[in-house]
Amino acid sequence: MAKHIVIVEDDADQRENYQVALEQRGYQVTAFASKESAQEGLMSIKPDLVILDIIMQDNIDAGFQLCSDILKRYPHIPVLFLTERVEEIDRIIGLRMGAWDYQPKPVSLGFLAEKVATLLRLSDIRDAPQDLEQNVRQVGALNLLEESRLAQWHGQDIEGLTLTEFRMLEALTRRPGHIVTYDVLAQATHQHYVSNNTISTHIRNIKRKIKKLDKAFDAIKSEYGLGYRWTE
Amino acid sequence: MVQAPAASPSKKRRWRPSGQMMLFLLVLISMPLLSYRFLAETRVFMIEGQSQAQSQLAQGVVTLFQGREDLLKELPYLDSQQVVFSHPLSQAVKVDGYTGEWLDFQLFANHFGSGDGEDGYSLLLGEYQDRIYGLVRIQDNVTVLRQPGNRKLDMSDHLRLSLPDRNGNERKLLIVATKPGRMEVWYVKDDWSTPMYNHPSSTFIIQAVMRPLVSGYLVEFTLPRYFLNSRQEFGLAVADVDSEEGEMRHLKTLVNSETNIESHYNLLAMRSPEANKILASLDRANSQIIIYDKHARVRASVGKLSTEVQESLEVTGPLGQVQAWLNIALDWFVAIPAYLSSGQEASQEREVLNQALDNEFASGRWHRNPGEEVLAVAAPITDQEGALLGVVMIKQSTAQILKLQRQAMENITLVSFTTMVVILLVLLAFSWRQAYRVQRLGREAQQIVDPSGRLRSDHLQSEVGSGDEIGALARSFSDVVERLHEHQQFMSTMPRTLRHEINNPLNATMTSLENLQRHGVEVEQQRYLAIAQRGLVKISAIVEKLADAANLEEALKEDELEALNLAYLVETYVNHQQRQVPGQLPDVVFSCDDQQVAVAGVDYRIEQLLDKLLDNARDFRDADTSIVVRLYQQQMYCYLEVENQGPPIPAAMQGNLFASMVSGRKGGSGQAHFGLGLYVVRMIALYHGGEVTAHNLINPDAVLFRVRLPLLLV
Repeated sequence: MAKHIVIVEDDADQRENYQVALEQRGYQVTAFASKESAQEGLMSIKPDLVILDIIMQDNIDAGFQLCSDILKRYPHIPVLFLTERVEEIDRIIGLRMGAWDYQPKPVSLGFLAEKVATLLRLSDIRDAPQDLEQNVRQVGALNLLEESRLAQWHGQDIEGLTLTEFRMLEALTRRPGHIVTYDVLAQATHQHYVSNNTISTHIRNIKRKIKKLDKAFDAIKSEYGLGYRWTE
Repeated sequence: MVQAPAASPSKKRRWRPSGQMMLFLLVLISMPLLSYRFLAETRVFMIEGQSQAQSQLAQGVVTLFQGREDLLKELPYLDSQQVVFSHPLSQAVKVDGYTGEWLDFQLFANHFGSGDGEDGYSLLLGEYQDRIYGLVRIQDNVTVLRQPGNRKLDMSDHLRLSLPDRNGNERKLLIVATKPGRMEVWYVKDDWSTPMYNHPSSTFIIQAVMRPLVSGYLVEFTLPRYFLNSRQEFGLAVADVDSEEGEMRHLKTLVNSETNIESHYNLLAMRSPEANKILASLDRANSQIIIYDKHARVRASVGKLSTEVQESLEVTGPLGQVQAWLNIALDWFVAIPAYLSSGQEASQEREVLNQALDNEFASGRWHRNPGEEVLAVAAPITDQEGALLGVVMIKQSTAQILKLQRQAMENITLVSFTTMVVILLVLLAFSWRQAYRVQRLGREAQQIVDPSGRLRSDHLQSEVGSGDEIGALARSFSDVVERLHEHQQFMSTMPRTLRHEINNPLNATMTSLENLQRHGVEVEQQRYLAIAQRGLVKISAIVEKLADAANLEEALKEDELEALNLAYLVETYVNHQQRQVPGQLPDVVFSCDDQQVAVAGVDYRIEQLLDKLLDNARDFRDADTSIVVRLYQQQMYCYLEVENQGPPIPAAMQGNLFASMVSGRKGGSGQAHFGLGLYVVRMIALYHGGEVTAHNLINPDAVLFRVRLPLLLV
């Protein structure tokens, strides 16, 4: 049975593009154009995943308010924010509200489909973890769980790792000891344009998250002016 | 239609602050001047009033003495006795043989004797309080002095005084000199030769001084008034003794003052007690009333003119000192009138008197000293037939008025000075406060802009609540700051707003192209689709860069400084930047003598800084030249320099080279540039506690960017 995805986006063009792209990938999609219509529609629908824009019409926090309502009603539904609000503080607020991921615009539809698939897979694992057959790649103390897009350091889950960060870790550890250039890392994000600075910010976040488990973590070396290198 | 040009505001006549201050000071200074003019007019008015009152008083006195021939015309006993007038003296005579005190009366001297140059003398008598003074000039070819020890007193030149007492007994006094100077006064017996006592009289009671003259000698003497009897009779004779060589001295001549055979006494004519009684009730301060008989002899007088000159104020304390200085200034300011000497004053007085003696009403005014003017009026006193009996002269001093005027002047000066000082202090305090307020406003206006030229606040706090002009200025300036801040806010949020607004249509377009591609596009049209997608990616990149630069300051706050080896970082970076082509110069050359340059920093921000500096250097360097990157330490800092040969930075750009949206690149380079690179460099340098500067070099022309960062002290 096809997974049911709800999209709430006030821009008709984007809404249609998302809907078409996801339906072509076999999902059942219901799209709403406003917070109010979505609230009404979700009274009779229990979706498997919700994609929310944040700014809708004149309400700059409509997506946050809708997220709060949905999670009160269905606490375990994966919620993905897909928004033009890209500031760090918005990202933090969205994730703290219980959203599973936060994706800034513009987004590649292929990346969006992959992200949707990953989130649904994670949701399935949470619901029935014993049913999932994991493909694990081990790089020293690092385990990359390909199916669930999870990573572990010395057997412990790295908390809060986003899909982009997982993909960057994947790219970094593909050939340990070799330099991975900014361009390669940018491609790993599946974004249309990613600056070196954005990549460095992602790397900083990855380091922080691993250092929560191991303060001595020092496996990611900077190759200034070129990229990064996994040295473990 | 032609409109008349509006009046230019610049043509309006406005008082500048200095002009206003001058006007204020003029008004301030004019106050005491006006007060002085008022006082001067008041003085003239008062003196005129005083003069009129004086004239009326003179008329009144004339009325009192009108027809009183008994007081003025003749004196009792005049039928049988020679009258010698005793002149009222204004002060006690110093008995010293000099005639300074007698100058005013010399014309009234009584002459006795032959007057042929031998055996004559002149006599002047005067009175002051309870003493009689006399001045005798004796003509004598040979002056014979008394031989001390000679018991006979008439063997030398001498004066004989006969003074009948109240009981009718005659006292005989002989005044003789043993040498010039103090004379001896002897009580003698009737023979005028034998002394009654063994020693002369006390010089305390009767004094006499002899001074030789060219043609004789002079005797000045004084004796108490009580030596005279009630009729005021006295006799005076001058004995001339000659002594020829080898001969005994002998009395040659005796010249008496009396002319009547029946009495050898003269009568001393003094002021009339009756007339004095009449005048006593008219006694007033600073005025003198004198009754003259028709021979211009003083018959009665009352009062006296003030003899005090200028009261000198006691200087006590600082205020007294200030007052003394003010008095000096006042003396300089108030012109001192021309005043008369005592001789000139007497002459002036005599002139008025003579006019009155001619039976005319006379008046005169003169200054006897700088602070005192004398008003004199003289009115003739006549009998029933109109014949002149005497003259009443009233002299009055304006000293009191002038003194009051001066006191008023001093008070006005002191009050004006104090007021001016107070006003000046108030003005000074006011000016200081205004200057302080303006300075405070200026300081806040300066501090409201941070080193990067951005406003720290959206309003001013100083003086905006004040109701005066400075408050209005502060409010206006605060409004300007608020508007500038709004503009700054708009400019700073503009990239973010732009990204928000662009991202939605960009996302719609990109996802549409993606769907289009997925639906299948003919091969010939695939390339156009790819071009459209690349264009959209460029737009996305531009928006991203703008937003990143706008968010840089906030993003930097998220970064944590850590110890870095800058030498390793820069060397690694430069090595990774090398794009050397065989046979050509290296793209970037790194030079550093130190292995370890420790700084506290964020590695990827330093990397971002290097990206921007090298991008800039590559864009402006001359072809076939290398970029030189240097790192060195000096004292507490390390210096990171990026130098490229190429055109210098235009002078017009040097002031805002590191500001946002400033670019020196020419158009048509094929890449979008928004002048954010050096702005990012400066923000990162500032975040690391450093600074960045740009320098033009010559020989060869080159541009050097120098980033100074503080060293990490371990």
